[in-house]
Amino acid sequence: MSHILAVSDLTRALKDVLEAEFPFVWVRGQVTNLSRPASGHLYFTLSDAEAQLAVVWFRGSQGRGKAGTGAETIDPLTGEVLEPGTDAAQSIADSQEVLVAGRISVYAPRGNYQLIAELVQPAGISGLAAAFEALKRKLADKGLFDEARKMAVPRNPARVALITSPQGAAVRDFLRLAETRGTGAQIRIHPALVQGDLAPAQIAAQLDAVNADGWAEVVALLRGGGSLEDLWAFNTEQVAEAMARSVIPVVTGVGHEPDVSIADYVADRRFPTPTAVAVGLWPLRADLMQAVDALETGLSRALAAHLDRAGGKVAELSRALAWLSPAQRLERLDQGWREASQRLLGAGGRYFDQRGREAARSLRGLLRAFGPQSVEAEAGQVRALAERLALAVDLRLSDASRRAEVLAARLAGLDPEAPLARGYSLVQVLGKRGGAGRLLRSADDVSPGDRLCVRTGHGEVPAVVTPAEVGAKAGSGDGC
Amino acid sequence: MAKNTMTFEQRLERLKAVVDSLERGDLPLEKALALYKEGLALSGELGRTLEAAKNEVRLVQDGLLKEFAALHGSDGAGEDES
Repeated sequence: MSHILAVSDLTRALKDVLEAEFPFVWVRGQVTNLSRPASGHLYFTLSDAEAQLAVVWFRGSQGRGKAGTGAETIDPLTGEVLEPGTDAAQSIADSQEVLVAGRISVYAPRGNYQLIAELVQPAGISGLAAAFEALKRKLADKGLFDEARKMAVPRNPARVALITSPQGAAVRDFLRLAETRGTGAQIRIHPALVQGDLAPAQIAAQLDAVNADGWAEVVALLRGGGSLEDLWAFNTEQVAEAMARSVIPVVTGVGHEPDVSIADYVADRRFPTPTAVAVGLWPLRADLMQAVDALETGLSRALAAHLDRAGGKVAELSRALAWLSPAQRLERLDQGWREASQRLLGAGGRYFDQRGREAARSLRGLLRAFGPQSVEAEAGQVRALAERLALAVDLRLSDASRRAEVLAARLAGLDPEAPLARGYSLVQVLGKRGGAGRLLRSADDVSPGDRLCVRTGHGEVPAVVTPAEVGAKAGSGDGC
Repeated sequence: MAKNTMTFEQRLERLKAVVDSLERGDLPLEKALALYKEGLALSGELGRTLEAAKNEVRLVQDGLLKEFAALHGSDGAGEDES
């Protein structure tokens, strides 16, 4: 989500804003919490009644403004000889009132903003700083720093005027770098003293001369780095006014990175160093060569595409033309005939296909009626009948078995022995000689002396027919 | 603007315009070929200009232009003429 910043992003943004807004400031305050670690850097807090500001003064910057010893010191970065001054780094102490020049930066790991000191002076003696601030205010009030009055600086200018010392390292460095850039410019050096009492007047006069001449597209004020005093010519009203009245855009390359002079504020464009002016004015020549090469390649490619398209169009038109030729017409007629034939054949084929399909349909009907399917159907019927038959037989059999049971029951009722249990008896005639027994059915069947066997429900009783009883008629009720 | 008075930038811009026109591809072939020739000539001139590019440095003294040979200072501190 773009509207939520990481801490580091916000800090970086703050750092950019602060560093851009306060590239060089003078601050007055009282030194507190002074610390001198072994690294040689100095850390202290600058404070007044209401606020505090963390300050770091790196060892590399502490040589500046050093003096009193009489010994010359040389800036290790630029090789410049530094002006004698008070050795503030040694003498600085807690509760001392000082003026600190430097830039505001952000120390991201702690989220602190701090002043990176370039110069520290006891407050009482810095007339220069006070003068600088006073002039800055005055010129700002006059509108000399207004962005609105600044002119656009031409890119890749062909005619450039330099106002500088012809013997200085600044112009040498500038020319050496300029040689690798641009497309070949004319450069005119307007010599001027760039430090000392005469410098402001000479610089202003050369600015006016360049304007009077009207030859240059842009004019550059160049001077290498130095102490505040060295660069003082560029902090004068005389130079500032001459720059402001120039109708030719004026750029500055004065001092080195952290130095900001009044002239820088007035300039149409300010560069931090003389070489940065060359970089800012002219594009790198190698880049230009590459750009031209790229365009040449683009040119060839575009033409090739054009020719391709044109070639394509010619081919298209050739085809269109061929379409109109008699040979093509014959071929087309031939083609038409071929197509018609094909269609005719196709239609014939389809007709017979249709008939064939119908015949097949009929054949299938016939087969259904009389073919294997029909036999199958009959077999099915036979199977069904057989099943019905089996079922019927089953039924009959079970019916017969039931009737057999009933008959058996009835047969059981006819058992001659059954009435014996109820008190009836069977009498068998054994004869005199005791022959095979026949059942006695009538009194006439025996004669006295016949032996009888009377069978009861439980056991047999032997008996003999006595004479008295013989002759009794059946059913007469007399006898025994 | 006549070609011989055009600056490097103007030639470069013209070359860009030529390439752009050609890339649009809606031009008659004759026009395209003419543009290509013009572009090729421009790119040749630009290349030669860059090959031959050399700054011409003069010292302005008493209203006169003089040859300037950068003096070899002993170190970077030679700003002071006085």
